Amino acid sequence: MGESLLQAAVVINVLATMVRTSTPLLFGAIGEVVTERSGVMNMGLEGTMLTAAFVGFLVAERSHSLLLAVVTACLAGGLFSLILAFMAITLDVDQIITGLAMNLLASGGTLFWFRIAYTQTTSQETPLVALLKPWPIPLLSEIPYLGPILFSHNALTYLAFLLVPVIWFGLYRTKRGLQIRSLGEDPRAAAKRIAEDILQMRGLQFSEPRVETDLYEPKRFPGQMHYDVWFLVDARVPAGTKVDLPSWYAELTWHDPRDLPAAEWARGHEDVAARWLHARNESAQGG
Amino acid sequence: MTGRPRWRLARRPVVGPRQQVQALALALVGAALVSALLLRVANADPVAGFVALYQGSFGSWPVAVESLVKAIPLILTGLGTTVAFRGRVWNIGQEGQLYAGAITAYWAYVTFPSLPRLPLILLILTFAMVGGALWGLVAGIIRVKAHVDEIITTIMLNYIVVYILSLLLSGVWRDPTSYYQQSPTVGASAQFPALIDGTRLHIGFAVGLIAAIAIYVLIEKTPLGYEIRALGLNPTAAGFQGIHVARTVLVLMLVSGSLAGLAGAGELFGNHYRLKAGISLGFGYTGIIIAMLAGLEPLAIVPAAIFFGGLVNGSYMLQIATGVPAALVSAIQAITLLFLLGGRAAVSYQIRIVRDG
Repeated sequence: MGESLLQAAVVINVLATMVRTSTPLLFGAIGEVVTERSGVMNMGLEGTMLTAAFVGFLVAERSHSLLLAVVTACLAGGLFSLILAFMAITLDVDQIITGLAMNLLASGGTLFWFRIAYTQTTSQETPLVALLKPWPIPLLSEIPYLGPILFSHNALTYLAFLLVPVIWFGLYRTKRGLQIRSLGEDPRAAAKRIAEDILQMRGLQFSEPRVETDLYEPKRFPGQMHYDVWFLVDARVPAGTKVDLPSWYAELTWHDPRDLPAAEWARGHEDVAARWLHARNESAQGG
Repeated sequence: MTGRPRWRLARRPVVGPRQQVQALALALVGAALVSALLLRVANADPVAGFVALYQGSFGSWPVAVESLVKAIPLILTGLGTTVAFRGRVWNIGQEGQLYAGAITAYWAYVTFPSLPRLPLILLILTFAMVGGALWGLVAGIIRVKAHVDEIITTIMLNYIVVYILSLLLSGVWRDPTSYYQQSPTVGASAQFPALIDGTRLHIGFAVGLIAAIAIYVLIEKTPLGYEIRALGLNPTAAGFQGIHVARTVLVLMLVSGSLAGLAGAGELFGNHYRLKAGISLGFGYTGIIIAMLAGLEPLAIVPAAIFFGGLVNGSYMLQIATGVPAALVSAIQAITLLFLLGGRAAVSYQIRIVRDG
């Protein structure tokens, strides 16, 4: 009986430790999910965490305020990522390389700063900060087994687990989330693929994709509003290149959407696809 | 309203060697300025800091040789990165392939310890290449067969091989007389001979130089190199041209891995003389940075690696002479690379003056 109680305590302890140690992984993974969904591979995650941890430590050690430390750590991580974003997005430098360079910068920079900030460190006077106190949730932490495993952690652990549904909602249920996810799908590559593989139009040059959004009332669902996010890619023919138009291309009729009432042209995507396929089949039969 | 000049930023159609030199100059000046700022933050005289850095890296013959020793693994991992990245195969697994090469090379040594020196060293070099290449091939096969991004697999394989090493060093290959997790010292016949008598500069440096020339010839002058470059420019088009994309990816991973494996053997048999987790100080990752610094040009890898080796070596003198932490050098390396990357992006644009017509 005593032995099984001990075993249960060990198992509970192991499981609780698993939940606790998953906190940094969870924060990192959630952040990476958002950037990857937007099409940016953030290889600098390690460096971002290291920098934020170091700044948080410095602030906690100097101010003795853990709340201030956590807030400044978040700001530091954000600023660090901003450098990465400037390099990778604004300057269009390779994302992987930028991330690796930022990791090197963080590992060297934090050690450098640490040695400057704490020059005379001996083992006795190692700088220490207080730990975040566990924050057992009333009632829930009283549940046998589950209480100590799930509901007796510090605030950051709860925050990490709470962020999972929040970020899910943000990515899948909001306008901004839809924009982020669509960005990651590489609209230029998709446009290129359609032009070259399906339309057989080679030699086109494609612009950088741009995002446009529109709200309209679909013809088939009167009284309901429809929200669209488009990624527009312009293709143009470079000077001196001849692009062969498919034979059925001329048969397609195009309307300038600005000349039409919104309800006329804003149809479901399947309508457009059906019209296009119809035109292609007819041209195949004709030719 | 005519004739009002406006500035317009436009992408240059061709980025020539002049722009490359401009970018390099821009990067070096920028990195020097930021480094000087960091030295000031550390309460040191920037000029004294740079002097110490120079004296500790190339200021005298012995330290210059030591800088070259530090450059050896970086040349090899840098070349391994270059060959893979030129074909747009993102091998981030140099670190793991380095350890894999060291493990197989050590295995060759413990299996045939009594061979004469020359055949033993040739055997070690061969096994190092095979080990690194096979570890690279694992990620290559996963990419080709299952279409899994090689960035992820190579990074994960880096962790796996370190744990395999730890397993071997806590068991069969452990030095029973040592407290640390490391193998016994290798015999004198397996230690790489010095390239210059009385110095620590071992034959790994010659291997690195030969490899640099070999990779240059491979990429620029052979049919395989043409396929690699075609793959790097446009994988889809390369496929249409009849280039066997999957096979080329596998070959790239093999070549890249074997170079990293050589770096591992060089550190084991030329520098530390024992197998331990500390034979690589992140050389695989630094190799990627060096490859980017060299603009993925095989022959430029050698000076870039020597520059980095010199910085690392000079950091000790920097710390002794000015009290500035040696870790500054890692930051300097990263800042140099970031400035160079930013500089290359900047010089690919030009400012045009447009007049409204």
